[in-house]
Amino acid sequence: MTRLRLSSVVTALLAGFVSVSRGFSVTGPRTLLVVEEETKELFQTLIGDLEARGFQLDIRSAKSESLNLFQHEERAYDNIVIFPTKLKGLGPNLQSSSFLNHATAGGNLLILLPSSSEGNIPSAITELAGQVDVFIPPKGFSVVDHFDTADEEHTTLLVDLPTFPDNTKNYFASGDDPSAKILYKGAGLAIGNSPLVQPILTAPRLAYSYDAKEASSYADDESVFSAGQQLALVAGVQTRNSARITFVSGGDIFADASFTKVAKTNKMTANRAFAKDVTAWTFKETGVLNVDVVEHWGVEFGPNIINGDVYRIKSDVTFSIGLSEYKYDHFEPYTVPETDALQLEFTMLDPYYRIPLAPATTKLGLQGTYKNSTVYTTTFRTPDQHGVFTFAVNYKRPFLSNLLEKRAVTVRHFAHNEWTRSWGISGSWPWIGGIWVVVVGWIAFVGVWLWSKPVAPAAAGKKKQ
Amino acid sequence: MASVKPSFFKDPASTQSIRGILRVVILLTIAAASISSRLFSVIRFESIIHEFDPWFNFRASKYLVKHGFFDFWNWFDDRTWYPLGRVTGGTLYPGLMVTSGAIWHMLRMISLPVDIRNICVLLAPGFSGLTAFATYLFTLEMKDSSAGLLAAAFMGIAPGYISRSVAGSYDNEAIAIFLLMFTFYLWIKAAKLGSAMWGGLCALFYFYMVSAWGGYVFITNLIPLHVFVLILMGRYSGRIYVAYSSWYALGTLASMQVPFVGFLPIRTSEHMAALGIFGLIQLVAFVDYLRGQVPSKQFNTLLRALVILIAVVAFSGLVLLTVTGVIAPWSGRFYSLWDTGYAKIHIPIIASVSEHQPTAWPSFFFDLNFLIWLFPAGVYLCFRQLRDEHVFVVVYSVMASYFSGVMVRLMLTLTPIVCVAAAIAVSAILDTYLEIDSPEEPDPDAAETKKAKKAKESPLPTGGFLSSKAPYIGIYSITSKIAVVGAFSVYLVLFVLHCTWVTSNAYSSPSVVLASRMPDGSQHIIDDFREAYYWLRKNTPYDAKVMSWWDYGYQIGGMADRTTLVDNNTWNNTHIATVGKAMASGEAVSYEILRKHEVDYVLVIFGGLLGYSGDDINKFLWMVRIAEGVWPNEVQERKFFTPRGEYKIDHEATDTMKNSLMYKMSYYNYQNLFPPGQAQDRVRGAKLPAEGPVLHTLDEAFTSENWIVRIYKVKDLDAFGRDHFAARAFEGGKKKTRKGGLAGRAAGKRGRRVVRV
Repeated sequence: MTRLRLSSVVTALLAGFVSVSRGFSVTGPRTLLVVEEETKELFQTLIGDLEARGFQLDIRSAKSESLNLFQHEERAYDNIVIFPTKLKGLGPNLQSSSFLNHATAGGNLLILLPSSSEGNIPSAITELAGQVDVFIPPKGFSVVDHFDTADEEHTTLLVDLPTFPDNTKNYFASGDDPSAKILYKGAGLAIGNSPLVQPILTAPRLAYSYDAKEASSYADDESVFSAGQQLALVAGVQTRNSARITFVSGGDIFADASFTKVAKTNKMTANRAFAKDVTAWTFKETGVLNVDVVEHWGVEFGPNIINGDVYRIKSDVTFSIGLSEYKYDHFEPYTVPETDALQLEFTMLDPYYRIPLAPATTKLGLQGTYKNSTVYTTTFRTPDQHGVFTFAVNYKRPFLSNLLEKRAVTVRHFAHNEWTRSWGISGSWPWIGGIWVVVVGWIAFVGVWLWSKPVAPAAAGKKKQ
Repeated sequence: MASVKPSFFKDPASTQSIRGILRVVILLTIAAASISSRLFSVIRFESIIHEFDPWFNFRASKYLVKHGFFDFWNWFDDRTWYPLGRVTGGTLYPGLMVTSGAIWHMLRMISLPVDIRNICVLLAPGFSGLTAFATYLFTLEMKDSSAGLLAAAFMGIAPGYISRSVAGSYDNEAIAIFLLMFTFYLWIKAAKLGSAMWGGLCALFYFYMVSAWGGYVFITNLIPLHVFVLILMGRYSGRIYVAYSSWYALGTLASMQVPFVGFLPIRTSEHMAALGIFGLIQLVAFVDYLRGQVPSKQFNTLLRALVILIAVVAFSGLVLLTVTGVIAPWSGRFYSLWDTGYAKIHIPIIASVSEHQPTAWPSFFFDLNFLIWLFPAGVYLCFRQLRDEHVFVVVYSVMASYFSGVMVRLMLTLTPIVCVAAAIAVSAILDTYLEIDSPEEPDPDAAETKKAKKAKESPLPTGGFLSSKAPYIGIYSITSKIAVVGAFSVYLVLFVLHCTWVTSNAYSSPSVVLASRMPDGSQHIIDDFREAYYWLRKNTPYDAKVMSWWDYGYQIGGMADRTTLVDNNTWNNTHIATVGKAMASGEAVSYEILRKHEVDYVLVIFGGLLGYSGDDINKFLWMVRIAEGVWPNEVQERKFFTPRGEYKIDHEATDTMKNSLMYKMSYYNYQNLFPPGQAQDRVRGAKLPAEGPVLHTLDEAFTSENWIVRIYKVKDLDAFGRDHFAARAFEGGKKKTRKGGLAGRAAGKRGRRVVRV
């Protein structure tokens, strides 16, 4: 018990120390930029902004032979940015499988696809996209919108900042001006039904992506790749181990050229702020949940015995979990959106209970030491079923890192001395009374028998028998 | 005319003390022989717990000495039957563990801190000595001390009993057979003397027996049967009444204190016979009393009618209660005692256990040798005298003979009575033929003396058959004496040789460690099981869950100390069927089950390389059958057979067979051991397909030296949301296999548009 407490304190201190000393991405600062010299010139601001946020940039060409994503079987980089390239292939060290291994090891990827319909898409990228249920149109496609464009060819779009339903936190509209538009030019993406992939920015309702070369005069059903809200411009994938892969279908969205004023409205585009949001999310500077503390105890004993292994059936148990969220350089208490709920499951094969967790009003146990977390708590009665149960908090929301906290505990049966005693059950009184009547009656009978003097002749007859 | 001068040795009065000492010495020698013959396994192998169930008993004993009695009583075991757990304290017979725990504490008290494992290993041999003593006492009541000593010697070394009591065979039977014999001895004593004290002692040991072994039901039914037969023979007496009433009342109340038994004695059909006889004997006693008071013959008839009427009413009441479900109907195990085919059809889980199979005839001779043909002779001799206790032997013989023919494991209950009966027969023969003096010429006086002496030596009772009262007829010819005695000496020597041979060769293998012979005749130990269990213990997290077929549950729990899904305590058929389904289904279905039960490792036994025939592929059909019993639509036994109805694992195997998880785990990578196309399964004697099975959802984690134990790790969900088949296909280089749909469009081809919802 004491050991448990001490270790969690140490962990908390360590976590605090590490986060203070680092001050950037949760994954880490080592960032690889795969970019050719001529392309690099176009993204000076983005690169500068990343450097300013504390990322250690390693700018390499895809052709570089010494480039290796793994060193001594450990991830060599925390984050990778692939810039648009004219190359057809990325070389032997940047294969789709090496990207997958990088993400499996917890590293993040930001992939900028070419904006020009003539740009090459390396096969490694296409394969990687196919594995995570993202689909990139072939060469020659571009998104057009005939109603709200910024150029003659209708291929440069002005897109609103992304909006999401109430129960999803928006990490991609942190700019000062919420009405600012994003300047976009690219081919778009289609995404499948995998729950791991989320569209960050979708095309306007009337935009569509089609093969401008094949069907330059008009677009029919065959030549249209995807359209409207189904057409994603920027898509984010969060793997099961919470590594992040973001596909930006028009890489120029983050180029210096896009950080200008829109001619029509004479307002600054939202691109620069959007670039910051997308890189921050991809490199895990935002949207990272942390479980600071998980505590459960039996109400009978209070928080004296915390996180014990055994509970009894039909006993009251309190469970609480402290959550915080990372925001660029610090953790702050995480609050569940009002239209959403954080739930606790008490599971053995199937959930026996699914209970909403509410923010705690008073902090008990160790929770007081976690200033930067919101403690959610609930008290419930264990079911009348013994077995190995699991406290499970399964909170997986778009753009938030996956939270699956499981604590297995044993729920045992009543011990032999925990049942109500016989005299405590009113139904047993007649039987208990019966026993005592027999006992007393027998003793009385024996007494009477011994003390009563038999009549002499009868006694002789008895003895013989 | 005292012509016959009593020799020194034949004078009972002068040799009494010497006889007493001799008896003690002989009994001690028998105990020593029975203990030492059970130590073969320790000498050949090592001091190790054997087989399957003993591993659980051992683990429970360790828990008992570590946590104390009350924690043991309330033990909820969360390391088995994951995630259901098992209320172990309430579902085991604690007698064995409590006995060894008590011995452990006692030895500590006298400053002998012995490891609990050594107590567990040596408990069975120790108790076999006591069993021999109990058999001596029992036979003493039947005939005389010479028969008793013979019975004790037989019991000490009979293979039928040794099979369950060698050192390391730490099972309930280890102490139960002693308790069985001792309870019977006390019962005979109580019935003979009509003493409530002996009845109470009998009840006390009956309670010990109930706490030690499920086979106590044999006692529960045999004693009432004995009483019932006596009543039918018109031998009702006050002695029987006192003995039975005190035994039943005290014994039943005591037995209900064992948590696992609880209210069974008043709720199940197996116990109803004892209750019925208890009622009947009250009635008979009442009628007997009335008959003493009322001499009228008509009234007697009326009373008999009354007794019959009440018995009929009680019986129909019993039937009614059983039908309405107040009294639990006969359990499946019970039905399988009457119909040997019952279990195979209705309860495959019982039929799948080898010790529940009907006994093969040779095994009677194998386990009992010459005792088996002396057995009827001994029973016949009991008929000749037929006192109350002889009726017991007869009843016991009939019942045990039948049951031992139905189930192999019940050979164990037959063995004691065979030893007793055979000892009675042998001692009767020796009594007759070992008389050194030939009888003199027929002389009324001499015959008289002889008779008197005979009566003194072994006081024959009055009553019984006429033949038993026949005048003493002696054996006159020295030749016939020498021939018969010589023949029996040879039989006895052969018996000892046979017992020693059987014990050392057949019953001393721990089955955890296998022994084989090298070409040069030296012994080679195959230790794959312990190697694998130890790997699990050292290389997996403490809370890892291991799935295997239930046979290995206790061993994994005992040796590897890891959580198991099912084990040899087969209390939950559905859970076992779930494991069977996981083994018998394709990977996609199995993976769901494995994930749901949070399985980390899967363990299979594979004997194909070594020719170890007790492996999982040979048990596989039972898994299929048990799973089919629960999910008849998803698992079908028929699909595992070729169209010609053969069970094949080679290229003729059905697709269902080849795709099942069990087949894949058994033969994964197996073909790499052989030159291409030469892979051979030495158990089934079949050549395997050149291409081995491919596993998608499991990784091979460990394979033991001789490939007997193979352990697989269950893969985690794919990080990128793909299924394992697609992920593997991608890793295998098929990077553009996905056709149609969005992927087709992305590849510039026509394809159906999939709308994301």
